Formats: sequence, C-alpha cells, structure tokens
Amino acid sequence: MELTREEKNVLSGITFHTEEIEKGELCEADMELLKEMRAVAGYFKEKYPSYTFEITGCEPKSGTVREHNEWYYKVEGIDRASAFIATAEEKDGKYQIKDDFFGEIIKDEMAQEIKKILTKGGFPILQVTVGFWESLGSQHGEDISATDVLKGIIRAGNDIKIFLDGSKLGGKKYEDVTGEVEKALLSEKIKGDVYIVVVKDSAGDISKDRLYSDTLYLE
Amino acid sequence: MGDNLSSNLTIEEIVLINNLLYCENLGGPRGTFLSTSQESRTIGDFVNGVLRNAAQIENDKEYSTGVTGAECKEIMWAIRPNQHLKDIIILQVHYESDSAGGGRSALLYDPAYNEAIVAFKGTQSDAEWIDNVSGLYQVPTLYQNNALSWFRSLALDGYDTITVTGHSKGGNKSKFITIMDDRVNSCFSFDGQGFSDEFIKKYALQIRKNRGKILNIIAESDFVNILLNDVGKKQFYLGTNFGRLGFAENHCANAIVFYDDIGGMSVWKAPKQDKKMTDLDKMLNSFIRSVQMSTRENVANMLGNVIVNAKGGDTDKIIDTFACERYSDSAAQLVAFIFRYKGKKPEMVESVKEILSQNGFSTDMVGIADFITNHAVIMKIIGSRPKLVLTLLRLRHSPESLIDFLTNHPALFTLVDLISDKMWKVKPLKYCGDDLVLD
Repeated sequence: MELTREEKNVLSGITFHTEEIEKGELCEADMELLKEMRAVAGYFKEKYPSYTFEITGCEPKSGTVREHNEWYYKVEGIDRASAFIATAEEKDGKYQIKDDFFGEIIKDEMAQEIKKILTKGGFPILQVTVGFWESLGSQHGEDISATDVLKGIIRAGNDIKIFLDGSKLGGKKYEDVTGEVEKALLSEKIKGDVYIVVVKDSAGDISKDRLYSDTLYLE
Repeated sequence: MGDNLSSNLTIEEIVLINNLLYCENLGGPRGTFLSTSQESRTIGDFVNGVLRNAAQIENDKEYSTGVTGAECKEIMWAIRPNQHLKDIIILQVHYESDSAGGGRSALLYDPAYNEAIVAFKGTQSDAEWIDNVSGLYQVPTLYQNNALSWFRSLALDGYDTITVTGHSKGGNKSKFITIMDDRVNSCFSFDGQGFSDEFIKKYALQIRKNRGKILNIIAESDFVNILLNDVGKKQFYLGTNFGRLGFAENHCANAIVFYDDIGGMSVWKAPKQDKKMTDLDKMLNSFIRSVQMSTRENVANMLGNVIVNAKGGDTDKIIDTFACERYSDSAAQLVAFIFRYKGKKPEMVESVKEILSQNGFSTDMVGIADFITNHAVIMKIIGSRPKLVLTLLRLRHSPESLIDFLTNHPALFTLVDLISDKMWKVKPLKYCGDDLVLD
C-alpha cells in the first residue's frame, strides 16, 4: 500500500512496527488510523481550501477516557509553538471531525471589534486577545463570520481577554470598571467569557504587574 | 517549603499542581487545565470556573485514567482555601507537535515570589509510550530532548527562582531538564521514572553538578519510579485507597492525597518504600543489565507493545506480541528471567500474591504456578505437548475460561517451550539490581 511521507511519519510515531509501515504493510489497527487520517486531511482540504495543512501526530483514544482520537497538525505560514488539534470520532460509519483552526481566521477581527467597542466607551485598553473553548466541524468553512461568532450566532465558546491600564482608570473601583465593561459589551450583544485584567500601567507586564482580575460570563 | 530546595512551593502545592495537569473536560472544555485558553488566567480562576460548572461533572465518571469526577472536585476544593496557589498565573500552555506529538506542559508564574514553574504532564499518547521504552536504549530520548528544547525556548530571565516539576513521564522530563540546564533551581519529580546506566555514565558530570536540586516525590507503592536509575533525593509518601484500577491506582497523581473532614488536603511521609516495589526495582534493574545493548531495543519495543495493548485492554494483541516472530525471543528472555529470579528470591512470589489480592484476583493457583515455573523441565513438557496439557486440565475440571483461553492461543505453548530453553541459560543474580549511584 502506498503511503505519503506524512502518513508514514505519523503512523510510525505511534506504533512499534516502523519497518512494516515504511514498506506499506499495515495491520488492521494501522489501516483504521490511516483511513481516519486521510479523512481528516480531506476534511481540512475541503473546509479550508486556501490553507495547507500537515498532520504531525495522533493520540488514539484507545486506553484513554476519551471517545475520540486527537490529531495534531500544523498550518503552513502560521508560526505557533503549540500544535493545533482536531478531533475525530467514527459514528455509524461516518467520521465526525472538528478542529480548532477556525479561530486563527477570525480572532484578530474579533479582537479589533472588541477594542472598537471599548475605545468608544473610553476604556484604557492595553491589549485584547480572543480564543475559543470549542472546536467546530465542517458546517463552518474558512468564510466563517467573525461577527456571528462574536454575537453567539455561531457558538464557538468565545474567550475574550481584556487588559486595561490601571493608571488611567481615574481612581475608579475595579469592580465598577468591570461592570461598565460588561454593560458596553452587552449593549453590542457580545457573547462569551470575558476575562478582565487591570495592569499597573502601560509599561507594566501583563502577568507580573497585574492589580486585579475577574471573569464575566456574557450568555 | 520543599525540603532544602529553593522553591517557595510546598510539597502539597507541588502535588496539587501536578494533579491539575490531568484535569480534562471537567464539566466542559473550560475544565481542561492544559488548554491554551487558560493562558493569563490564575489557578484560582480555573478552579472557580470548574466549580461554577460543578453540577455538570459526573462523580462516578473517570476524567483521567483512574481519577473520577468526585476526586477531581476534591482537588478543586482543596485548592480553594490556598490563596498562594490560587494567585499563580498560567502563562503558557504547550502541546508538543514534533515527533508525532503528545507531550503537554505549562509555564506558570508565582507572583508572590517571582518564581517560574515549568510543569510537565505524564505520558499523554502512544507516541510518548514509545519514547518511554526507548529510554532503555536511547540516550537521551526524543521526547526528553523536545521537552528541553521547549524549556529553552521560554523567556526565563528575570525570575528569582526556576522550578520544574512533573508527574510520571513529566517527572522524568523535569529531572532531565534539571540535569541538562544549570539555570533550574529546584526540581520535583513526582513518581517519575529514572535513567539507564548508559545515561548515568554519559551525563555523570552534569548529574553530579545538579542532582542536589532534585527531589523525587514517590508514592510508597508506585511502580513507575522504580524503572531504571533514579537521580536525586527520594522521599516516599503514604498512599490512599484503591479504586477501579486496583493496584494500578498507586501511580495516579492523587494517590498520596489525604483529605480531612472539611476538604483540606495533606500528604504524609512514609518511612520507606513498599517492599514489593523495592524487590521489583531490583529485579528489573538486574534484568535490563542482563540484556545486551544490541537486543535491548527489541526488548524495549516488546515491552512497549505490551503496555500499549494492555492500556487498550486488548488481551489478544498482548498474546500476539509475546508470540510473534519479532518479539517472541525477547518475551521468552524476560519471562525466563522472571521465573529464574523468583526461584532464587521466593519473596517475589509473595509480592505478586499481594498485588493480585489487591486487585481482587484469586491467588489459589499461585502456588502451583510457582512450582511449575520454577522447573524448566515441566515447562518444556507443557510447551511441547499442548493437547496433553489441555486434556489434563479438562480431566481436573480446571476453569473453562482457562481452557478456552489456552485453546484459543496455541502460540502460548510455543512460547512456553522457548521460555524453558531460555531458563537453562539465564543467570538471574549475575547483575546487581541496585540503582547506579555516582560517587
């Protein structure tokens, strides 16, 4: 059986019979994983045609408490120390695949939108980052709408982190500032977890110089 | 404070951090500690987030191997009153992507003492299991190097103290990093395996220089720390009760955590290691030293195959591994060694009996099995006459399950035959079983 270099690397990384895999002689378990790996690769191609993916590893569910296999992957042109992860589960002969890459496409646009709202409200922003708790399947492609995600029309488990300059809060109580941020975001129908951190000043380190933190849940 | 080490974390806090690394999907994705979305949050934020969804956590469900939802909640409640621990910030979460992926780790920051804490989770994937066994013949292993590379990629200037910790394979990675990188001030390896003789000799200079920074936190009956040679000081701790996995739960990160009536946690020093584990440690060291380097990779891969299949609960595949052309010789070598070793050290049989009892197995047959396996001649007869053995078992009304099992796995008889041949050649006490300790 013909295997690509990527397939050989992944399969031989998770089994002890490297020689057979090099020769394309796969056992039943390897065949199943290969079938799923190809399904995941096909899923990426179809879902994100403008990007090039490389599957780098797999963590099979066997022997774990998970019900899905996890596939580690990289995306050409995106420099990230940590691997992206897709999950795959076979149900009734079909693979249910989800991935976390959609976030890369929309996170900056979403952060900009949050900054715009907060700037309008006069909040001294140092930094806004956006992440996601959920993985999404094939129903949302690379044209996924940042606005729909931000407003919870597409539920991706938004995780918004806002870092504020504590020296420019005019002596207001941090709890009051948090309440005002909540009001500003709610008025724009923003959904998700919002983590607010007050940092000493604009030169401060967002970890070492934090004065206050709190979480809001906009549901 | 952690003994003589310069970390500002207590042993209890180190143990709790290592337990957090295993928290996955508690009440939903927000309940995964090693998630990049946790970056910038404090441990307190994580705990509050999990407890907010406590109703979604099923008490009886296992959320990581051997650890139930109820046990995870106990961990959360134990952290809640500890402000020092709650203020620690999760700076970076890392998923290893190189070499088939699998390792997970985090960089934490203790603002109270300007301390960086680098924490490694235990074996995450099959790829990491392959790496675990490669430690028998490879110096260093791929994943040890990956962990070191990630550690060296972190911006660690400006901290007053750098501490590394990890459980199981994570403990091994922590020790490796401490040996290799002089910047580390303290290392807490929790039930982490050790290093091969070859590793100890190759890095003797570095080990001598940095071993004083390492403390091994070990559950008295843990069975992973006994693999290979330990580096650093060892402290044993009392273990708690067993759950679904029986004896295997001695290796769970919460195995040494005791709770009081109001949910407060503590750990208790044990006077020494469980004798069973001390005996097993010596036997394993003797065995590994008896295997030549040229065949050690095959033995390691055989063991790895068995572990991965055992983890998946696939008995047939375990038997296939023992019986297949590639591994049968190594499997026979290992089993023959064990049989001959226990012949010389009968206390091993008592240890096995105790472990079987703790897992709810009957020990009625242990005596007979011990007698048979002490005699290569009897083994030879069994191996070469499968039909006769099966007939005798039927005549003696032996359990049907045993007869069915042997009938369905005829290759086992060939293996027994091979084991009997090997038993003549094995010299079980030729090699010392003590850990290799540098002067």
